[in-house]
Amino acid sequence: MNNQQMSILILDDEPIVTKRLKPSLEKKGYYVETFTRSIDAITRFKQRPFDIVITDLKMEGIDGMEFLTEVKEMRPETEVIVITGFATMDTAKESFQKGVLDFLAKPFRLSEIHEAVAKAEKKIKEKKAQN
Amino acid sequence: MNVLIFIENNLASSISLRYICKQSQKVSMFIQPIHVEEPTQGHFQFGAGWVRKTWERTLVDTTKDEIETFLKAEAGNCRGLTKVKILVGDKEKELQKEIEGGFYDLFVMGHLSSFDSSMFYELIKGSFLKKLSTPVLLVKNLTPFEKVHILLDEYMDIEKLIPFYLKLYENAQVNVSLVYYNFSENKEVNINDGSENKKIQLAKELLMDRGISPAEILEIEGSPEVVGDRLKSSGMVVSMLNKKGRKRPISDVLASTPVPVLIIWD
Amino acid sequence: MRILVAVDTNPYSSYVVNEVGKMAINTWSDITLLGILDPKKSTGKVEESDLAKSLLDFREIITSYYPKGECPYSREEIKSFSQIKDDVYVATGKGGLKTLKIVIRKGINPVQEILNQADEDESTLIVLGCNKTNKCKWDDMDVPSKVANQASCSVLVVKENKTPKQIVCCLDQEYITQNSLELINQMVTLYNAELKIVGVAEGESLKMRVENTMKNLFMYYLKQDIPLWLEVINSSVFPNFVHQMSQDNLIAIWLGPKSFLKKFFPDEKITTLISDAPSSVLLLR
Repeated sequence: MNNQQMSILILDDEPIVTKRLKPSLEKKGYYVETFTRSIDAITRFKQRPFDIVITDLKMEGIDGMEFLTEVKEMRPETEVIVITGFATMDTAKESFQKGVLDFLAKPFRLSEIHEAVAKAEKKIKEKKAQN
Repeated sequence: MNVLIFIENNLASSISLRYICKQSQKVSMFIQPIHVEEPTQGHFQFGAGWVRKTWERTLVDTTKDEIETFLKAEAGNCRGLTKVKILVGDKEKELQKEIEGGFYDLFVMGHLSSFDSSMFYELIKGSFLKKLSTPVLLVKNLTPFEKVHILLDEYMDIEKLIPFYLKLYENAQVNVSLVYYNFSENKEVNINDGSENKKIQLAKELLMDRGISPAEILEIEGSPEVVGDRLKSSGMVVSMLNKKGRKRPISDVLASTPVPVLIIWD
Repeated sequence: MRILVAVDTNPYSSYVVNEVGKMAINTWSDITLLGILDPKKSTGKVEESDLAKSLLDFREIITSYYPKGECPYSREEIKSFSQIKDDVYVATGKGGLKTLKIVIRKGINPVQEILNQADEDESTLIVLGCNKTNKCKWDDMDVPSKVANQASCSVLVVKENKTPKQIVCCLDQEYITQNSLELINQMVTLYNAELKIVGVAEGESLKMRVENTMKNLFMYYLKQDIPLWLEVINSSVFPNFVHQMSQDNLIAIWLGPKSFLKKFFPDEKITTLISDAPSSVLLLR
C-alpha cells in the first residue's frame, strides 16, 4: 500500500457482497479489507485507521448502525457509506444524522459504489488540502 | 410427550424438525427421529440370510451418516432430541410397526403447504395415515409456537378432542383460542363471539377446568380458503377428523391453512 | 438502487410516481423520470410539451414526500432541458445527494426508448404503470408487457395504488440472483408485507433443483430473521394460482432466459399475466 492509496474497510455479513466489492475496488487502485463480522471489523479499525468504510446495516446478531457510530466516534474523518438490503425511511435518516456520506439500497450496480467511493475520496482529499 | 418424527434429507423434514424443536422449548418432550431407507429395486437380488443382513447393515450405516449430518445441521441444539433410528424397508410398513410398538403420543412429519388441496387429501386419505390412531402433526411451515387455535365444527366430539389436546399440550406456555367453523362459499367472513354456541361453551369449560382460559373465542363463517388464511397468525391449528364418513368442510380449512396442523382422530 | 420510471400523460402514471415516491423515501434511490415523445406529433420545444409539464409535476410529487431539509434530491426549479444527444433531452436540478433527473426521448418506438435508457443508466429496476381496464396498454400499444419481456433488468408494472398483503415469489429452478433477492427484500420492507416463496412442482414431487433453491431461500431468510411462507403448487394449476394470488398480492416471477417457468409463461403469457393481473407484477432478472 502506498502513501497516496485510499484504504477501504467493507463490512457485510453476506460474503457474496464482500467478494463482489473487493476485486472491483482493488482494480480501481484502492486498498481493501473485508469483514463479515462487526467484532472483527471494529478490532481491525482500532488497529489501523481506514479512509472509507462501507457497511451493511442489518446483519445477523449485530447492528451496522452501532458499528458506524463507533467508527465515526473513533475517527470522524473516515467517510462512511451505508449499503442496506432492508432500507427504511428511519434508517436512511438516522444514517445521515450520524454523518454518513452516502446511503445505497441494495441491489446496487458496482458503478454506484464506485461513484460513492469517488465522492468520498474527493471529500477526503479536499479536507486534507484545506488542512 | 413421546414424539416420533419422520425424517428425510429434504425441505419438509428441515421445517418439521426445526418446528418440533421450537415446541420442545415450551413442552417437555422426548423426540425420536426416524428415517426409513427404501431399498431400490435389485438391492436384495443377492438373496436372503446373512447376505441380505450384511447389505442392510451397509445401507443403514451409509444412510445414518447422511441423516445424522442432516440432524446436526438442522437441529444441533434441540431439547429432547435423541439419536436417529434408521430402518430399511417399506416406508409405511416400517413406520407403522414403529408407531405401534413404541408408545408414541404424537407422530410428526413435514408436509409443505400446497395451493391445491389434493396433496393434503392424498396424505390424509392414504393408506398410511388411515391405519394410524396416534395424533398426527403435519408441519407445513415454520411458524412461531406461541398461539394454538382449536378448530371445532358441529360434528366434532368435543369431549374427546379437548382431553386429547390437553393430554399432549396442557403444560405448554401458549395462548389457546377456540374457533368454531361454519361453512359458506362467501369470501367475506362473518364472525361472532360464540356465546350462543353450546359446543364452544363446552370446549371452553373443559379448558377452564384445567386452568386454561382461552385467549380468544370466535364462531366464524366463510369459505374454507379464507378461514384457512385467517388462521395464519396461529402457531398450530388443532382439530379432529374422522377417517370414515363424508368429507367435511373443516378438512378443507385444514388443507388450505399454511400453518402446522395437529389432527386428532375421531 | 437506480430506478427508471417510464411515464406518459395518462392518470396511471401518477400511481406509478406515487409508488416510486414511497420506494424513494426508503431507499434514496437514483431516479430517472422518462417520457417518450413521438416526433411526428411534437414539433415544438420539448419543454413546452404536455409531457414535460407532467414530468416536472411528477418530480414535485417525489420530492414532496420529504420534509423540508431532508430531501436527498435537488429541489431547484427546472427551467429548461438540455439536449445531450440526438433526440434525448435532460433536466436536473443542481445539488442533492442523490440524482433525480428528467429525461425526454423522441422516438417512434417507446419500448426501445425505455430499454435504451435503462441500458444507459444501468438501471436496477424499471417501473411503469398501466390501467387494468384497458388490457394494460399505452395508447393501444403493449408497452408494459413488451418492456417486461425484453428488459435485461427487473421490471415492476404498477396497476394501482394498493398495498400488497404478500409478496408472492414464484420460483425458478435457475440460479436466483443476489440482485433479485435484494429487490424482494426491499419490497417486503417497503410494503411491510409477508413473503411467500412458491415452488412449482411437476408431477408427483418438487423437482430436486426447485426444492434445493427453496431450501436455500428458507435458510437465507431464517438467517435474516424474516418470516417466510413456503408453498408448493402443481404446474397444472400454476396459471390459476397466479391469477388468484394477484388479486391482493404482488406477484414476483423469476424469469431468466432458460427459465423453467418460461414453459408456463412464454412471452405471450407474460403479456396476458400483465394485462389480466388485478394488481402489480414484478418480473425479476
